[in-house]
Amino acid sequence: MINLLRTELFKLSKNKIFWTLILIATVVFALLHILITIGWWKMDNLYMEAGLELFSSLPLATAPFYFMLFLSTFAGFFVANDFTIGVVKNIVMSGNRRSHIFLAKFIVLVLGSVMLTVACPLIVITGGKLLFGFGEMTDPSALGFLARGMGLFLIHMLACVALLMLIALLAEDSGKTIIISVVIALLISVAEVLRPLPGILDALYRYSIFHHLIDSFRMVMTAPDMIQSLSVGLGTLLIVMWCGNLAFKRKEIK
Amino acid sequence: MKESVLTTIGLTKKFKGQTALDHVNLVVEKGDIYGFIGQNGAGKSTLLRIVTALARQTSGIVSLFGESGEAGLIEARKRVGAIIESPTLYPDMTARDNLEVHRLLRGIPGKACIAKTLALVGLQDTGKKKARNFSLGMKQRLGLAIALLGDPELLILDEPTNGLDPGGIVELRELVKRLNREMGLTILISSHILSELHQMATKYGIIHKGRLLEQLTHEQLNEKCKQHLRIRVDDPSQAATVLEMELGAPDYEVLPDGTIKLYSLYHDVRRVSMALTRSGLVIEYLAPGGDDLESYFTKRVGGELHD
Repeated sequence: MINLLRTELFKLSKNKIFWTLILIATVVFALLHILITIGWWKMDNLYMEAGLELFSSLPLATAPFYFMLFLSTFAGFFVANDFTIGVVKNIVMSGNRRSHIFLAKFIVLVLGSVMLTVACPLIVITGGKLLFGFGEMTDPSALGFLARGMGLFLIHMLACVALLMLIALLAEDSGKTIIISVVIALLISVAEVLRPLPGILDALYRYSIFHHLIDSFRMVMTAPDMIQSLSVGLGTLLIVMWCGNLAFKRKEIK
Repeated sequence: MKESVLTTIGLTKKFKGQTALDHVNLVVEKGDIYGFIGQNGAGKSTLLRIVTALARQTSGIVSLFGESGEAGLIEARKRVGAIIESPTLYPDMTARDNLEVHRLLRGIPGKACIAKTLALVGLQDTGKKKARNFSLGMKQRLGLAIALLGDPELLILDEPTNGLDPGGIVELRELVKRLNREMGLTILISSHILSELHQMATKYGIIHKGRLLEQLTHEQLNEKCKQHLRIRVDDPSQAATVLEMELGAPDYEVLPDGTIKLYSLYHDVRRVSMALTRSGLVIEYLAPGGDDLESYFTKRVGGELHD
């Protein structure tokens, strides 16, 4: 397992798409962050209300469409591309359990995804503050809210990454993976705007990781709300991981 | 008896009602260069894909280094290097980085093996050139280097000469023979270029329409394909006397139907003919015979090569 993790990390370090996405995400986010901080782009959100003005650009990074676009591109080129170019054959033939191969890939995919969607924005925000004094924080005690929101967001994001990995495994093609994921992201965005959805669709959406992902940063969250959010996130993560592992174990590698 | 490296027992694979492999019992022993012969679609790659865990059998057993259980097979596969169908490389990486991926994957300590393996396949001077810019021959050699990393005990090569120019084919053949001779590597090599296989294999398996028709050693094949004169006369026992006494050729064989196979003098039909005639024998048939692997294979699969 350690060998597989080291292999995947080495591959990540050599993955040009990943570094290009990191660069794009950093530049785009930095630009938006500056524009919001200097007041050129008005953005009233709960961070402002909470006294965490410094983080007022964060909702952009945690918007489903934004991060699904980056993550699906990353998953497409990091997971599906192994099938497209056929190198997955070498990995499977190397005498490692398929479940370990799947898990190692998932862990490194998660690591890369966290770097893309969480680490980059946070580095930009803290870097901007430390180097240029960008942004204010009138109520540092509200950082607890940020930590809770970020924790829930990460759990739902993990489930999303597992779903992207499953899509990439089944599609075996980076282009298809990106298209399917972007369509899903679009549907989520539309669903969020159209709520309440008709009939059972609303219940389905309410208990989906997509809704809870957006809902992670809700200012007031009761204990049952948090338990529900955690259950949906962790439950979905386990189910999708199990499905992905099963699909990979049964897969005939071409 | 030599140690068995790979054994399949009753290996069967069915795809949507079609039988790709039909109860294949194959044995590759330590030190063999096993030539796996069959036309396209005969089931060669399917068998190799099952052995290397890329596909699952419908029924039957695969045993690698004596291990046939799931956990044992996974461990045993660490002792196998393989190229199935075509070498698969990371196109944006150099040869060295491609090998580094597989070094990490196999948990091989130290990076010295990379330079050693690159030198073995003649790719030590590729520098920063990306694999995508390699020629087909270089890609094939890099694929071979990946398969050889970590000194496997069994090397599986599926159609390794595909796309290689004549020079590349000769290089590959020499390398395979050298690996077998110097490192004692057991090699299972599938191909439909039979003349190539004939120059390196020590054992053959002929597969046709998913069934393993025959396994035979190089010596057995040579025996079957041996150049000879085929003689049919009215009195085979007298002909045998003539061959021995008059022509001094004791290396003949009388077949049950009375046909004589003479393994010497097959270039000197005239001399044999005259000696037999002088002895008053009536020659019904006299012609040189003998097969190469290609014609033997064609005969063995019943001339169905282009169905």
